[in-house]
Amino acid sequence: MLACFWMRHGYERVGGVPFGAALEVERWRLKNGLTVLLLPDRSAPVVSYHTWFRVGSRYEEPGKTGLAHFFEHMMFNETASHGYGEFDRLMEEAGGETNAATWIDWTYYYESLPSEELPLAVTLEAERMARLVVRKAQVESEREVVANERRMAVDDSVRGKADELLSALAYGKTHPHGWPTIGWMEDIEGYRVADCRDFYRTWYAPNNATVVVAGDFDSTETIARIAEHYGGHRPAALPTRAAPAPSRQRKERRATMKWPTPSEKLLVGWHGPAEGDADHAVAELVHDLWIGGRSGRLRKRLVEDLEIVTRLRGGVGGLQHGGLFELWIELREGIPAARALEVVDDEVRRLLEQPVTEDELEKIKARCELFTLSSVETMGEKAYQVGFGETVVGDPSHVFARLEEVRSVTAADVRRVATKILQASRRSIVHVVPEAA
Amino acid sequence: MIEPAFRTADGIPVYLEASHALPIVDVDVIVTRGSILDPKGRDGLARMTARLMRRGPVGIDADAFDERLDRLGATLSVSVGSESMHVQGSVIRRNLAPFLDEVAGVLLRPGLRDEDFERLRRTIEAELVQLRDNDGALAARAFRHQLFGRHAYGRSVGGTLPTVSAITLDEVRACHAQLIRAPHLIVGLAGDITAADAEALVGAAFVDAPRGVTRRPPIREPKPKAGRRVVLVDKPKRTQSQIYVGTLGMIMGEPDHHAMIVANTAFGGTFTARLMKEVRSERGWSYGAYSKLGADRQREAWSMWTHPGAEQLVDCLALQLSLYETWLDRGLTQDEVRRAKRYLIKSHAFDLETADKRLEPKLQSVALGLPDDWYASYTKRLRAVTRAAANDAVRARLSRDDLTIAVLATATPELRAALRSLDGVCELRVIPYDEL
Repeated sequence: MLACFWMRHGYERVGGVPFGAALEVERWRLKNGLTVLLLPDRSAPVVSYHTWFRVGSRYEEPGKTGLAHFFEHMMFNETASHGYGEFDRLMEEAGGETNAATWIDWTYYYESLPSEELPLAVTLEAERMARLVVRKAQVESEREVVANERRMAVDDSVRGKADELLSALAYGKTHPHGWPTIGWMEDIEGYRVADCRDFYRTWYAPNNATVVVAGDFDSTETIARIAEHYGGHRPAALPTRAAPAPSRQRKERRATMKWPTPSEKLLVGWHGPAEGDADHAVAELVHDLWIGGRSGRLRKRLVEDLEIVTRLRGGVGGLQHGGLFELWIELREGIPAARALEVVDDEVRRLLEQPVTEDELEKIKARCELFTLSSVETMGEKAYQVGFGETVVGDPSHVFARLEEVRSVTAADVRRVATKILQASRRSIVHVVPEAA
Repeated sequence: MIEPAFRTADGIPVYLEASHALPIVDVDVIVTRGSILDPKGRDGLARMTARLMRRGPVGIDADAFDERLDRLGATLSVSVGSESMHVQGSVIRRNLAPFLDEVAGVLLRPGLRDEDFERLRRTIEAELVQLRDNDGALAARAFRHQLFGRHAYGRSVGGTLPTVSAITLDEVRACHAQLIRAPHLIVGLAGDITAADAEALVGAAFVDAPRGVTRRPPIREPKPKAGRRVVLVDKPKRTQSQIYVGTLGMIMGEPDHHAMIVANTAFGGTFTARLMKEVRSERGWSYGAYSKLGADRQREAWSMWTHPGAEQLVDCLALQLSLYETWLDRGLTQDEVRRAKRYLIKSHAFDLETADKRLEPKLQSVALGLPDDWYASYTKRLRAVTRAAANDAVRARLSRDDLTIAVLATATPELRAALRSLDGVCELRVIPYDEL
């Protein structure tokens, strides 16, 4: 029966998974390999339509860094049926918002629309997945835009520049995690039209993508419409890419960066687990124990008790093959960064030597519960979580699975994972030093 | 005034937007007085008061208070504008009752302790120094100072190093007493809550709020200086600039407000608007290019913002000025007005998507004293805007000649000369970025 249905319609439902207490993600697949995840939710008359491609900056080659991000810009240009600027014009006239993002493992595009405009998203996204027109004039125009984006996000940003340095320091400039997602400026300046066309043909194919729809729609109608518009797209022979080599760092690495800034800063990164690794939830909990909320251990000591730091940020990279456990520390004017690093070292020792109390664990778990729930309020947030979970760990309800993992973390887990990750020999440090005007 | 769901014993109106999709509740308390009440030489007082309140109510120290909030699975933040203060938070539904007690405690019974005060002052001073890293914020600050001068809207809500260091704890306590009074409070709850539960919980938490009204000081209409005046914030080694160009905007709720919303949307409010099309899509000069229409009790700012590379700064600024003049002289086309209206009307669906999004305009409407149907009739009023009305509103509200131009860049002699030679520029002031 199923085979017959597949042959007639070119799509089939291949499963489903609960998304929180009340919703379900339906998993569908088209004959050409396109995965479609539908999350019907009639709570508001809007939809969010996401297209996730399993290609990001780690799929690039040295010399062509930033191409995945650059191509993200190109996708808003001309297609066979729609002239330059039409995509955005049609979206805005429909009351929609559209944008995209690129990261190390993925690129995604989204449209948020009033629900009656869902067919427009299907039409436009299906069109640009297969029939994009890449011309020289647009490559040149986007090159300028991306160069300006890089100036804003990296070249004139103390944090952006430090991030770029840290990745290169921790992984090496030729490692796929070691170059910036936006690309080196000299690479941005060198893209050719042929590079863009090759990239498109190689990676933008239905069997390398997941479409996610969340919101107020009818599943039967929607999957039929998606099949109608995408069904004719040919799958691509996707190149095989070896997983990025794990870091072999065995010694602390340091770099100093002079910058026109009023105070010293530190960016510290330890090699951490992959998003899908069982230890990732524990690592996130450890991070929250340090800087989550106002009562986080490091925050309390550095910002409140010692008054040597104004801002403390960071996170645990959510990557397929292991990211960095990062801390960004902005010192107060005149305070040497070494003082903050001493406290960080002290807090590492404390984690290794003294078990976290049950009380403290419960506090972090309550915070995680709030943040998980707060991350799935709008249709756009729901679609993002489904797309991210599917693309990075193969589980569209990963956001809720992660909450369950966090709930089961024990004090022994914290000590074990802290011991594994927070080794001085496995960390890299960028030290920002004020430069006189 | 929109009818609240109920009032507390002290008469505080409480508004509700229920949604049982997720077991969380957002709490938003608006205090309808803000930094406009800061005395001269004490810029930042209301904000410092709010931040000291946030360190917890009497009977618990700041550290223990933060621990308590984190254990509840709650967030709590304060913010201050020229006309209002917000105390906002979110909490897991099962902990709503104790969380509301803490929110009410912060507002009505704050500790305002001496040791916290000195620590906070040092923190704010350090943060003001760190602001020098944020080019966009520096340019925006220079723009407002230049546009509004000594007017209340030109003062810094967060204060400056000299004003913050002059504030005393007694002044903070007096500010709290002046601001936090029952007639100034509006409470909103959004999320997994019923009216009956809300009435019981809020009624129990918000008790004994001080009575009496603190009169709002009269705010005169801002009068910017005549001519096109440039302030150049000089920061070394910039590969990119920040540009703000603008003039006075509107008073909230004026008859042509919706016409101006449509006109601004068509000029610089979306990705396909004129400004973005010319600056980014056609020339690739700036990653972002938007205009913003401000509106408050007095005329706020209208501004356009871009951040071109240093080499394109002067060309980009000249283009912006040309686009602005063309907008005022020739107006928008019928098609531009139609598309802007359609976008605004259709995208209104997202303003209603979640309970907290539905609550926010309701609270704002009450806080600003707007007509009851201000937000309910939003799309109807937009539909009524004609091309002529949009173009007339722009010409009536925006000045062609009196423009404030704030630029953050590395002030080379060539740049100074180029800025001076721009059409209509009558003044160029250069300020080092660390003296702003």
